[in-house]
Amino acid sequence: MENKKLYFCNLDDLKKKKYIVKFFDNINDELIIFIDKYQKVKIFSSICPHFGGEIIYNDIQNILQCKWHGWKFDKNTGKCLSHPIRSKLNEYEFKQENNKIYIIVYD
Amino acid sequence: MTDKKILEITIKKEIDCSKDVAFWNYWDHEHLDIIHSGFAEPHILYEDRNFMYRIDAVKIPFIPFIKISTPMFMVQHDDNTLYTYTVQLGIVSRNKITINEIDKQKSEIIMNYKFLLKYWQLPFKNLLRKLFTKWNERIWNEDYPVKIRRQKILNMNFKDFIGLPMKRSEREFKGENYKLVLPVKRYKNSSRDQHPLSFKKEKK
Repeated sequence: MENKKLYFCNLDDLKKKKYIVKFFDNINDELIIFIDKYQKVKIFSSICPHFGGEIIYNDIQNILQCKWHGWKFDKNTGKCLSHPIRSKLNEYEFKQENNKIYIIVYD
Repeated sequence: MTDKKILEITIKKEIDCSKDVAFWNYWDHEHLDIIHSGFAEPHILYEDRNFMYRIDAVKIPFIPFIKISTPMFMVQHDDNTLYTYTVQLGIVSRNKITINEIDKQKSEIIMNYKFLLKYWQLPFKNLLRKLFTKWNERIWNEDYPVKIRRQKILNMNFKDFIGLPMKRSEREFKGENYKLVLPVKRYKNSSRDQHPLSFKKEKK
């Protein structure tokens, strides 16, 4: 399987903002990258499986949360914490080169 | 002849979303207290396929720490018309919302409000007009990105409670518009259904 990398953001920017949401035309998905208090970086789809609201990182509760209806998701697995739903937020692999973060997508 | 006791406000807007997406936004009661700063504790007491009766705790402008219980009745009168009836600050009002399809991804929304004022409120008619217009503008601005985004993700073949298709090649518009089904689905533990007098709660 062939893979390609797509630029997401600069690590310093991410540290300042704590999370960044960006739409990627190439993969038709909107993603969230966030950095938690232990400096762990993760990337998930930021489209809530409920009605499609935007997922943001709630650094106080250390969870991912939907802006529209408040649904909560585990920041390590993308599983829904607040509702018994099968779907979860898709996780994306990434690569850090110098100070830049790229997502890895497979064709 | 117009009744002087009635304050009438008509607001027309256009938005890049389908008619059903625009109506969905009105019938999705779970976003109210999260997206809109003026709402708190909305409780649905009864609902069916084309109507709903709800009690909201509405914050008073300028004194937001005081909340007033406000009843709200909504009915989908026909494919293009939704009526809401409410009593806010003792003022009985009805809002007729007409949504016309301009094309599959664009709609015209006409909001026609009528407020029945009491005699002592008549001197404040112009002030009330300004307040309600401002309130409508705020609600519109808070809901606007929701409708736009909802249309965008539905165009990517998004399915409610499931998400986007796993295959990227399937995340594209198939030409079929989203069809709204009422009432909008909620989970059993929804905070909308926790009122002691809620029909759903009593049925459990």
